[in-house]
Amino acid sequence: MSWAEPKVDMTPLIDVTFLLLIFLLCLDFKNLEGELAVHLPSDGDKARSQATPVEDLDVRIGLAEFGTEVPDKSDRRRHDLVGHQVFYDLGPKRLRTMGELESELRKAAMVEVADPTTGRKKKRPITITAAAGICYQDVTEVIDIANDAGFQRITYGGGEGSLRRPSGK
Amino acid sequence: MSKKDVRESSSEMDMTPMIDCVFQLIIFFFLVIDLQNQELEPVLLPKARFAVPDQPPEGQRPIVNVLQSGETIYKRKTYLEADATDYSRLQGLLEYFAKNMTKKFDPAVKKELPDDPLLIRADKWTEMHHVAKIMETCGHLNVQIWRVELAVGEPKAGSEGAAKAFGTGN
Repeated sequence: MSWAEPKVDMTPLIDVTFLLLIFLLCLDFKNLEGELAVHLPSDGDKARSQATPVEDLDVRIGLAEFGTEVPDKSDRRRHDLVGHQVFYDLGPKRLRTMGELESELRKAAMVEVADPTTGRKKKRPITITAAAGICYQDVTEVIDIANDAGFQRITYGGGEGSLRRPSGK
Repeated sequence: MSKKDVRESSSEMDMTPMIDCVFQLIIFFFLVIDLQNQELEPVLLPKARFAVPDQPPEGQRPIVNVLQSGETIYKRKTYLEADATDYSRLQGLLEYFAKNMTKKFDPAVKKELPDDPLLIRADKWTEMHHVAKIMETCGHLNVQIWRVELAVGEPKAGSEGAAKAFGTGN
């Protein structure tokens, strides 16, 4: 009579390993967010801009309609804005929709200007300013498109105060 | 032990060490999740169509959360209350960040400036004025943080965020 080899049942171990694997993958996806890089005017920029003036592309986000605040039922701390509408001033040109702005920014991205110090051609820097009542989403949309159009230097030039406290800059 | 005894005894796996390990792992992951979430407040981020997935840099990158009210939170602590006018606590926090960031010499001003970014996470309907306040404080003499990253949500085809990207104008 032959002896039966004692076998270790690996099934539960493999089950647990797969569960952990799925758990770790979910954990990774949960923390997946995007990012938009933006520069702030630094002392270095000020010093450089005095020595070498570079033509900036100015985008001002203006407020057409702040919208109505609708409380978020799932989170007491926040509300949604219904009917929030903005417009964009790209230099002297007023643009009413995000589609128009995207088209104009992509056209502007084709133009390259010579760097006064190095002489090399490069895309113009973009400076974004926001009127009172402009929200985080309005600004990120513009930065998102500018990034995709190929602008490498996007600077936030500042805001024009709060809608609730227009004088409180 | 006789041959008969060995043959009759069934080979059973001792599950105790495995259950121990599983419980240890569960505890470990709970702690890790808690530590990770300490920096992230529940805010509804705006959706972006082209933003690059977030890749934390090698150096330090503090994460500051801004709620709709303007309340500014870092690691569950409020550094700027809603509608506050005193920014000294926020400035102290940013000075602390700047002190611990990697520095890079800027020949234009002949001094070292912080070269690590600051990540700002704000609710999509937070007034930009509140975020701009943090940016303004970044430019303070003792802070000088000039690289800022704005957190956005991942784009989803056909979602509300993607649709609104073309619908903000009138």
